[in-house]
Amino acid sequence: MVKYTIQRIVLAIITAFIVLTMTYFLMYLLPYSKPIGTDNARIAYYLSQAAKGYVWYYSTPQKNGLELLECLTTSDGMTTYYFYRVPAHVQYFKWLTNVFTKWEWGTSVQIQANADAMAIIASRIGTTIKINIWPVIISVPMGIALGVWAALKKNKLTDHIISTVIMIFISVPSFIVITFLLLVFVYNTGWLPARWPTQMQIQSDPSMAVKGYIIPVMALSFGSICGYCRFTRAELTEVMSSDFLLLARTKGLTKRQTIVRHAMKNAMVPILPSILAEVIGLLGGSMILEQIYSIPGVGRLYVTAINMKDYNVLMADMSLYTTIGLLSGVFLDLSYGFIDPRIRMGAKK
Amino acid sequence: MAKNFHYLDSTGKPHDIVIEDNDLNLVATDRRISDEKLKSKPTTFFKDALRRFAKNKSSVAGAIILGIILLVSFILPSLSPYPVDVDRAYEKKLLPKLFDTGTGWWDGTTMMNDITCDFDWEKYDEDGTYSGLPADVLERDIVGGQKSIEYTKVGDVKVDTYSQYGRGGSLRLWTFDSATDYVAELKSPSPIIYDMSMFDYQVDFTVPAFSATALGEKGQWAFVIKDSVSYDGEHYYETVLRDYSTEDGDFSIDLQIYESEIASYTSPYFLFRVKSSSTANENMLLSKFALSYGANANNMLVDTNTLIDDANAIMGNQAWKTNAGQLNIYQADIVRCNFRFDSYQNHYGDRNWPLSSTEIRNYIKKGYYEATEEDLTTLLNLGSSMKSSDIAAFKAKMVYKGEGEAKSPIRLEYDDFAITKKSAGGKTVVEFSATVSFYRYLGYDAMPKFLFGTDDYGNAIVTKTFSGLRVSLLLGIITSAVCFIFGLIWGSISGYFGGWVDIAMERFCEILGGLPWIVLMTIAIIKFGQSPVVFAMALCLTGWMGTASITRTQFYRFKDREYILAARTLGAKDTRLIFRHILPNAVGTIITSSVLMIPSVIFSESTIAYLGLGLQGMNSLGVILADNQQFITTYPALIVFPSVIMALMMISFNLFGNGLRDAFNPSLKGAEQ
Repeated sequence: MVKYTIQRIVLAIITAFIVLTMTYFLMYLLPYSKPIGTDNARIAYYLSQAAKGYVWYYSTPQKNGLELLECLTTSDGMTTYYFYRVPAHVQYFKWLTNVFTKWEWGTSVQIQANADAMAIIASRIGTTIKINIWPVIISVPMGIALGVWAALKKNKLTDHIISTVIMIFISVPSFIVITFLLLVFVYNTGWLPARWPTQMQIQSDPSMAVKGYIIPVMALSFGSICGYCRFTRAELTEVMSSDFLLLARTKGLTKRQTIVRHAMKNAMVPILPSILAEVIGLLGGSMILEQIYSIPGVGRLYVTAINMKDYNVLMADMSLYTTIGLLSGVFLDLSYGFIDPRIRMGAKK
Repeated sequence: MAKNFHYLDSTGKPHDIVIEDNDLNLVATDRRISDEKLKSKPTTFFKDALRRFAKNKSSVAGAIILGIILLVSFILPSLSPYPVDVDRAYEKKLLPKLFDTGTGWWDGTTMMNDITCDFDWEKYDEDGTYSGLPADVLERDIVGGQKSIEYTKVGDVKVDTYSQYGRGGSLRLWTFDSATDYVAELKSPSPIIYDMSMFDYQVDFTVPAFSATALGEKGQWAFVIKDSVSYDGEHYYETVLRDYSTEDGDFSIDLQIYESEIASYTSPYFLFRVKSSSTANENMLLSKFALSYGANANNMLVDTNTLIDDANAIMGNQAWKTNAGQLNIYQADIVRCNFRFDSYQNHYGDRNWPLSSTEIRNYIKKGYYEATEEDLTTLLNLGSSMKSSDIAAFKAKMVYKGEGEAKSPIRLEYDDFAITKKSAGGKTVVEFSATVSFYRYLGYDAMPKFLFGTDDYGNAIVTKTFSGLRVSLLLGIITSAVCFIFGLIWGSISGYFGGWVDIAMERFCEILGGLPWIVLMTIAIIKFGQSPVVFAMALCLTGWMGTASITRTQFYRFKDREYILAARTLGAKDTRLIFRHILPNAVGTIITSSVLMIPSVIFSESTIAYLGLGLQGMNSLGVILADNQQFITTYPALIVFPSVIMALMMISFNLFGNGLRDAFNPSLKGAEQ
């Protein structure tokens, strides 16, 4: 067990590393955003980039295969600069050393000039976590309860209603759900705000702080509730048709006793790891919701960074997402082992 | 002949049995008995699956709805008379219309509430009747005409900003002693706008408890304007103080504001100077206030800043004080109205429109009027020597003929068909204008009805949604097909051979799967542009892994069965085993997974479009939804219809996929439910 754990974690770290390297090189392929302005201003910009290690400059043209960015002369004609882009591998190693020795992920250029990229992300993660934790708290008990109910009343009217509603909410894409929520609660009745309330609005009307949570939490919970419900229902029906429950009934336990004491535990086995994975996935945030509702969270930062082509922040953000994704995969696998004794013992299913 | 059978039983005793010939009776000697055909029909895997599928009612419903939507989306855009990609400038944002105007629901009209009304104050003053049209709305756009407008009562609605439709109000000026506020009441209604480039203002105000007579003759006090150029973000305006006067305690300032050539500005302000009689101070500044205004003079603000040199000046303790900077016109009366707005009349109704001679020639050619083409040519050829008699002669010939009354765009009954002769740059230009029925002008025979309205580009929402759906579906199907084929091959190799090949391919899949797909998408889009090919490629890059892993699982299930072993023993090659034995068993699950890939591709593409990186140039569902998101408050129909169609499609795809999955699941073979 321990050996398996270590194996998985090491594998995940290696995968993360490879993925980040590939991402970095792919980002390097994107065109270098050249500054605009007078010659002197551009020279100053390039020199500052050179100080950070992204650009090399020489006074004569080099012929060793470097990519020439620009050749500029100062306005007094005294010095001529040839600016070359630092080759990919050199930049990559510099980035790696920066990250691992100084935890410096580069500075943002467009989003918040000269702010450290990790600091920007750290300032937004708080909001994302605050919003994402409520759907987990709400949807896990509700989803499981609904799933159990539907499984117990299988093929009766309750089951059909719940299954239909789940089917609808799972199929409909999230942004449509958000749009309809906005239409009904904000624009037709005006109860809730259309955007995440800013500090000033909260000061003038403290109830806005609570009202602002309602739509995001609802939008995120619907999907989670339906997922858990469907999963629980499927698992519980499968467990309920197994032999050991029949044995328990013939031995004399009531239906309620068999379900509570035996069936539920078996059915919960696949669900708990997915809850765990979702909690880890909290950190990622939902890009669409944050974009539509203007929440200053990590997801929106990602979209803004792409649109404004702020590569440092983008790289830091992508590393975060990759790590989260792989971590949750590892946790998922490991927790299966912890919860299900059959896997722990290595039995064949 | 007799046969003798001798045997020993279990205890060892010998027995003898003798069988004679006549012990044996042959029966049914007249018939041949051979194997009979099975009474029940043989069934194949697919037929069995189809039967199971058909029993599941919700899947059948899903399949039918899906089929209908697919059929409509492939046929409908081709049937539409206008191409969907072209903007139609005059038909933007029409409301949905199914029933005739006036029924109140789904008839192209909407209630507009609390619209400022261009109230007829004079009529109201005369006899108390309420009349006037809402601002910027023509009477023909109102369902039911003027009679159906509901007005708010005069005096009920007051605004604190300047409005050209309002009246009255006051400039509030405060004093130190808050118990005695001096209210300067504006006497004139709206300022008189003579023409668009000059605004003449007359600001009259009274200060009831304080009269100018106390100040003495004009000459003892004055209004002065300083820093006369102001800027509203677009134009520079210069304010000129034409005159000021006082009469019976009322102060009056005449201003003229016009667009200026001077391109540097500050904020103009007025000074009210009084000569002190108690001190020798000549120009003692008592009050300073500013007037500023927006582009069409709809906001007149009074900013006051007091600079008090001597608080105990002429007015004793009554000095003028500000109230935190800006003071608006305070509590002016406006009237608002509720009415039902007919968007179809607004877009297609009769309006006065300039026409070109080519258009008139076209209409004449179609035979709508008595005039002939030669008449028109003669008129045009007259050039600068055209006289009003020639014009009148031509106009006299413009009467309806034949089908003209029903079909002609020019509505002659309004009697304003005008021909004017202008000379521009040395040439004589003849201009025509008339009231046209606009839908006939655009080429329709009758006023068109758009079932769900049009969007911001002028295309009908129904057509646009279905053509967008077509694009999305094509993208989904192509991506699915490519992923399916590639994943199938990869999974078969990986699953069949096992061992090191399998492990290596697995690791590769894991690494590639570790790259978040949104990362790949965005990098591909930024680097290669936003064409559909890039999208398809980026989606295919990671989409095949699902199929590959399912194929691999299926292969592992079937690889060790006995019949495979038997076939291999008989000498079957690897390819034969894969394609003839394993794959047909595995194909059910694989098909289900690839069918379910289509909605997830459509969903991914919509998500990307919502984030702002959608397809350029081609409209897909995601692009349509993202474009219409901005109209959610004003025209919710624009986003409701595509959303409903998309939701319906995803739901039916899921139902269909679930049904397929249950149908192809071999463990359910023979199961009752």
